[in-house]
Amino acid sequence: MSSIKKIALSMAVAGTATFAISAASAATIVIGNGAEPASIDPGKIEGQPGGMVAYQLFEGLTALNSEGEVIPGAAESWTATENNTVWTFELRDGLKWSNGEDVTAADFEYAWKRVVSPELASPYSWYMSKAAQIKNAQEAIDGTVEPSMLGVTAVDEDTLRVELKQSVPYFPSVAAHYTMYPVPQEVIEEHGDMWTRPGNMVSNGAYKLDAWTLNEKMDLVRNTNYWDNANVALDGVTFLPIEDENSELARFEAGEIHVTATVPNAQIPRLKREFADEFTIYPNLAVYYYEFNTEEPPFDDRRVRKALSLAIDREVIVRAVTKGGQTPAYTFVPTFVAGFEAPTVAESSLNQIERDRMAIELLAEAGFGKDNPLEVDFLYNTSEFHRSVAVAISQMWKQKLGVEMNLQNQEWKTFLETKKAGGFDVARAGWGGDYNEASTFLDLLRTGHGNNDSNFSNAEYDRLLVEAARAENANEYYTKAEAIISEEAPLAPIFYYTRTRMISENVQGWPVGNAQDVVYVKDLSLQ
Amino acid sequence: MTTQDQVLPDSVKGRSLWDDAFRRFKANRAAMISLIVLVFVAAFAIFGNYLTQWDYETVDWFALEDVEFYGKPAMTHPNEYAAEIGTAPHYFGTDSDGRDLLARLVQGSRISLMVGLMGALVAVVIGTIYGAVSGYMGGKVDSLMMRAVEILMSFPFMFLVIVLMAIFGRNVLLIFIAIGAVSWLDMARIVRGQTLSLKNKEFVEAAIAQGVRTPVIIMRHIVPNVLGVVVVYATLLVPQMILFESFISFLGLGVSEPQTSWGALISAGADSMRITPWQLIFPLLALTITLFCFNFVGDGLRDALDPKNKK
Repeated sequence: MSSIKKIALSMAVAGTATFAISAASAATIVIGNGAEPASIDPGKIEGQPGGMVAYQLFEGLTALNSEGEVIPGAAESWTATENNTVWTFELRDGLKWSNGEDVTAADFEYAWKRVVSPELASPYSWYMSKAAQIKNAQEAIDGTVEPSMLGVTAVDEDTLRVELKQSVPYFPSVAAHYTMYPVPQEVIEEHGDMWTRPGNMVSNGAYKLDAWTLNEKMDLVRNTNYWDNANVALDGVTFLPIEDENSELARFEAGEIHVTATVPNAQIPRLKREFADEFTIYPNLAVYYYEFNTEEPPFDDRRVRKALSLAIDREVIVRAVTKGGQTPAYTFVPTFVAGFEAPTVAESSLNQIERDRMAIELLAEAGFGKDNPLEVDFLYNTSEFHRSVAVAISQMWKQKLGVEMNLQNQEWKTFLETKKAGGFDVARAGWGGDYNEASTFLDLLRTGHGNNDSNFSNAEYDRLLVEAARAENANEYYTKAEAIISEEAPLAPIFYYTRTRMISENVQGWPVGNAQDVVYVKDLSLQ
Repeated sequence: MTTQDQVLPDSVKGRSLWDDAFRRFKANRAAMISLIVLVFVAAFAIFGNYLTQWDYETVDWFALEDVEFYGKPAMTHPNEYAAEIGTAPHYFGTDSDGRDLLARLVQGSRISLMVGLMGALVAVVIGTIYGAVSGYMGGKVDSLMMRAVEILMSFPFMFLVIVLMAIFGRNVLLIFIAIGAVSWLDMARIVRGQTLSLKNKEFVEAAIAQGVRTPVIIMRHIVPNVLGVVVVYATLLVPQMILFESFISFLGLGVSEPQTSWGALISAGADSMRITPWQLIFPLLALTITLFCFNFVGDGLRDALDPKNKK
C-alpha cells in the first residue's frame, strides 16, 4: 500500500516537474537582437538593440499599435490647448513600478528633466528639443538654464502638463519614443549608474529584467505589477545579442530562436524558397541614400550632383543587389510617411533611359564626360551590404557617365568622423525616422543640423521648415521642401529600407505594419 | 697555376656546391613538379586575363539578376537572352556582385603573389645584410642591433597594420610596407646565427690577415656562404606572406575595391558558400595549390643545399 502510494507520488512529482519546464519554455519567446545594447537606461539608449529592450521594460505616455498609429499607453487620455503648444496627459489609475511603488506624473517629469541635464549627457537629448520641441529643452541641454526649468510639470499624481515652444500637432506620436519613458527616481538615486543591473532595475512595463549575461543573453520576466498583466500572454522574453547574421540564421534553423534580428542578404533567395512562411519582409521608416559634399568642387555644382543621382538605376539595385523587397526611393522622405505627399520629381516620372540621357547632358554641361572623367572619392562604412551597393552604383556611373570612382571603406566611428570633417565627395548614409512624420527626415538638411554632413544650406528650404512647424497643414510645406531637395540634389535617395526577419510560425501578432519596428512583446503570443 | 689548370683532364674538374645542389634538387620529384606548377600559376597571374573577355571590375547585369543561377560557372552564358545577344560566358562563374570570377582571380593572384614575393625580397635583402653585419661585428654593435630586432618583434603586428591604415588610408603599397617591415626580423636572426659560426673559419681569418676591409669581408665572404639558408627560408616565407595578406584582407583591412586578392575572394566566397560554392572553391584552390608548391620547393631546396647530404 505504502509503496504504491510512493510510486504514485513520485510519478505525480515527476509529472508536474516536466509540465512546468515545458510550460515555461513554451511561454518564453527568444528574439535575436542583433547586438548587445550599449545601455538599457531609457535616457541613454541609442539604436535599435537598446530600444527593443526598452519597449518591453517600460511604458511611455503613449504607445504605437501594429499599424504605427498612436494608442494610449500609461496615459489614458490627453488634450491639447493653445494651438497645440500645451499638452495635458491623464495617467491611468493603479499604475505600478515592478517594485510595487506607484507610477506618478512626477516620474515622467523627473525622467524628462534627467534627459536634458548636461550631467547625463544623453545621446538623445536633442529629441526633447528638436522633435518634441519642449520649452527650455535646448537651453537646458546647452546649460544656460537649469534642467528643472524644462516645460514639463506634474500638476498632481495623475496629470502631466507639457509646454512646447512651438506648435507640435503630432506630439502624442513623439511621446511614444523610449527617450520619453518614465524612470524610477528613488532607484536611480540609490544605485547611480548601476540601476540598470539585474536586481537593481525597476521598470513599469509588462516585463522586468531578470538576468543579463553580457554578450550572451538577457532574460526578461513577467512584471506582475503591470496594469494590464492579465492580458499579457508570454511569461518572458530572452534577447540574444548575435551580431553575425549567418550564425543567427543557423540558430533559427536549429529551432533555438523564434525571431531573428535580420537575415543575411545573400541567403534571401534561398529563404524565400525554403522558408516562405517564416521569411518576413516589412517596410521600415528609413531611407538609404548617398550624400554629396556640397562644399567640395565640383560637387558644389548641382548639375553634377543631379546627374549622378539620375544615373542610379534604383530598380536594378533593389531587384538584383539588395533583394530584400526594398522600394526604390526617388524622394528623401519615404512615400509611406503619415500624411506626406511626395512631389512629382524627374527621377520618378521618367524611365531609366530618359534619366540616363538627362544625366549625360547635365554632366556634359558641367564639363565632364567620358573624355574628361569625373573622379569621385566614395566613402562607406565597412559592411558587405554597403560594398555590394557601392560596387553596382560605381559601375552604373562608370558605364553611363565615365565616372572614375575610388571606393574607400572605414570602420563605423572613423567613418562618422571623416564624414563630419568633410573628407569625402560622396558618402553612403542612412536615416531612420524617430517618429512617423516628414520633419524627422527633412530636418536633417536644415542649415547647421548636426547630421547635415553634406553641409547643404538653402535659405528657402530653411524658411519652409520654420513655416511648416507653425502651419495648420504642415504637409504642404514638406512637399515644397522635398521639391527643393530633388532640384538641388544634396543627396541621392536610393531605396527605403525594409526589415527582414525570420519569424517562427508559432509567433502570433508580430506588428509587421509598424514601419518604426516598435515591437511590444506583451501583444505577442506563442502557439 | 694556369698551366696546371690546362693539363687537368675534364673528368677531374671539381663539382661546386651549387652543381651538387641542383642535381639533388632535380632528383626530388615533388619539388620539381611543384616548381612546374608554380610556373603555371605565375603564367596564370600574368596572362590569365586573356582567357576571358571580362575584366575584373565590370558588372554583368544579366548575371547580377540572380547570381545563384546566372552566375554559375558555364561555357555558355546561363541567361538565355544574354547568350543570344552574345554576352561572354563566365568560365569560373561570377562573384556575388556579378563580376567575372576568372578575371578577379587573375587580378587577385597578381596582388597575392606580388605581396608574397615582395615580402620575401625585402626579407632577403634587409634581413641578410642586417644579420650578417650584426653577427660579424659582434660585441656592442651586435647587442644593440639584436635588441632593436627584439623590440620590433614584440610589437603587435596587427596593431601596426591598423595604425598604418588609419593614418594613410587604404593602399596596396602600405600592405607591402607593413609586411616588409616585419618579414625581415626572423631572417636577420637566422643569418646572424649562421654568421657567428662562419666568422671564425679559416677563410675569414685569411681575409682579415690579407687586410681586406670589413664591409668587403661581409659582402664577399659571409653573405655568399649563408645564401643557401637564406634561399630556403625565403621560399618558405613567400606562402607565409601570402597567408598574411589573406588574413589582413579577411579582416577587411587589405586591398580596396574593386581590386581584390586571394584572401578577399575567399572571405567573400565563405559568406555565401551554401548557395554559390564556386565563389569559394576557385580562389581556395589557387591559394592551396600555391602554398603547397612553395612549401615543397622550399623543402626540396633545403634538402638540396644541405652540405651534409652527400647522396
